[in-house]
Amino acid sequence: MPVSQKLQQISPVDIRANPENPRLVFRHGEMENLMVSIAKHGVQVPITIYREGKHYRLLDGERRWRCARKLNLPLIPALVQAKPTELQNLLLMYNIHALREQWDYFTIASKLRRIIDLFTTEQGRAPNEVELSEATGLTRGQIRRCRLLLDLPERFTELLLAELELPKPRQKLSEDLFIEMERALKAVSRRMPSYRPRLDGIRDTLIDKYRAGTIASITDFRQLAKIATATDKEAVTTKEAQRALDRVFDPRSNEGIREAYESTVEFMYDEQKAARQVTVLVEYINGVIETDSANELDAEFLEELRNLMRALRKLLASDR
Amino acid sequence: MNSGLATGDALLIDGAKGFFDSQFADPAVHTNEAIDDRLLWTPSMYFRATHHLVVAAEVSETPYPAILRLRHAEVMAFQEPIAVYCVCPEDVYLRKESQPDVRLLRAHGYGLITVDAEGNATKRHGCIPLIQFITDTDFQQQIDGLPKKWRARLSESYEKYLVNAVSGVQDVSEVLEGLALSAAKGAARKRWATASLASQGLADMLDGLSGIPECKSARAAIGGVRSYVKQYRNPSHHYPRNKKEAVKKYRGAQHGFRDGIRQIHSFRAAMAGIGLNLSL
Repeated sequence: MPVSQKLQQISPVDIRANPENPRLVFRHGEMENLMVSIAKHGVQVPITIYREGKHYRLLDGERRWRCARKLNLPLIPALVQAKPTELQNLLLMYNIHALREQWDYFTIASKLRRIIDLFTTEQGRAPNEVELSEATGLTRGQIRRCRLLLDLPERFTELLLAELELPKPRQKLSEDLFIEMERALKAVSRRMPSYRPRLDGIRDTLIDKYRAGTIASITDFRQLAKIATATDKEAVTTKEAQRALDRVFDPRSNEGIREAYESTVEFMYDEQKAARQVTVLVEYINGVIETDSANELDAEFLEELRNLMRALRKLLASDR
Repeated sequence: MNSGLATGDALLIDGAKGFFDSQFADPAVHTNEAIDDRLLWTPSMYFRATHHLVVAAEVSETPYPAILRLRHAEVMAFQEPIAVYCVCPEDVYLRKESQPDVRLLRAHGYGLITVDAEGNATKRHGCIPLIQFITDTDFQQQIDGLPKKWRARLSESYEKYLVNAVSGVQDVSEVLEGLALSAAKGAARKRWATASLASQGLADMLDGLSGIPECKSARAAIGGVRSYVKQYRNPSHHYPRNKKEAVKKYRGAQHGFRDGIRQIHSFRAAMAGIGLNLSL
């Protein structure tokens, strides 16, 4: 990529937005704040553009450029550089923007597919996650989250985009909601393929229940996945899990994820958690005994251990 | 389409376009284009309602967008009449916390159009070109000292003025006519003139008043009313031939409104000076 750049003063009217800019959403409140700052102090950091025919094309600085246009500024400082290839253009966008500021995942995801296509054309094979991560500067976790959004059917991406246009406080359906939901649905449909043909309807129901407050939090979707994965551990039968999930996926039922989780697998997961804690405690106690340091234990801790012993006796007696 | 400040404003722009289409018979709307290089604001849309009047609109998530606050003085001083609307979502407008901004927007002379979720636009309040605008504070200062009933009547004129400046000025001249009639009736009651004075045409009535010896010290004020009513009672609707004439005409309306209130003060004082208490 050529690096020679020239600082010039360019009329914002002669500059065009870059259609490859993965940033799709420019929120009103955030833009107004920047515009007021530019009105007071001017554009402090030059935008980056390249020449394209009679006009210039933006590489970096769409927010500043939009503000300059709104303020009808006659000129804006700009670094003019050589025209990049399409893949260079896209990768440059990622490396300029995504690493510097907090982008919406949808923003990142929207152009990731194009990068994969261009990479595939250039290299004759699709990039793996590591290559994609190196090229874009995104972490592999970010790429995985983006892919969940990429796989969404179009009408849901449109729904999400419309929501992202709203100011943050007014957004009800966040990207995190879709990411958590898709992750959970993947876990469910992997174990229970019978749900696959119904996924769109299930998404609608889950979104409606979330909007209505029947699903109280986006983290509840993790419990949905837990219900499905509990069948791996044979803690519940597939039938039992399916019955619980059916109630959640039924638009006519008022059952949320939390209720379904509590009535099926919560006890098992709590038991597993307690078992892990018991293992840690037993290891600790054995360590104290082995090092002969019981006399160093705090009186309060010893009292807690006595309480534990009493509780254990009661529990184990009732177990007989 | 050119880019605006933010994304997601298509519904607002379409709603406002629909509104302007119905109100101004399909004007040629420019979207996100500057009106003039010298005006440091690119409105979301504008059109020329006539060759001398620009109607502009700024779409926004808030009832009073920052750019309109920033550029208020510039638009007021700009040498071309521009009427400006803010276009915001209806649900934002209906919120309690938006009301201070809505009031301020109106007080600063901007109109407001709201667009509901289905894209239907509603005009919440109109506006006149900012070049004609008189602030509420300014108006209240001007009518200070007048009787309560007069202030209420002039507030109606001001409301009219804010929607249609020429009508507002005409309305002030009607108030002056009413006061002249009250003066003529008062003069007749004091037997300075015959009762027929009050039934004459306005010009003759004022000339008659001016000729009464007891009104000698009030002749200047009576003459002022006569020339004011002559000029503004039936204001000529001459079509301005160019921008310069348009600016003059639109500024003239503001001058006429202010001058009318000054005439009311001076006529009232002059009449009180000769013992005539006027009523509306």
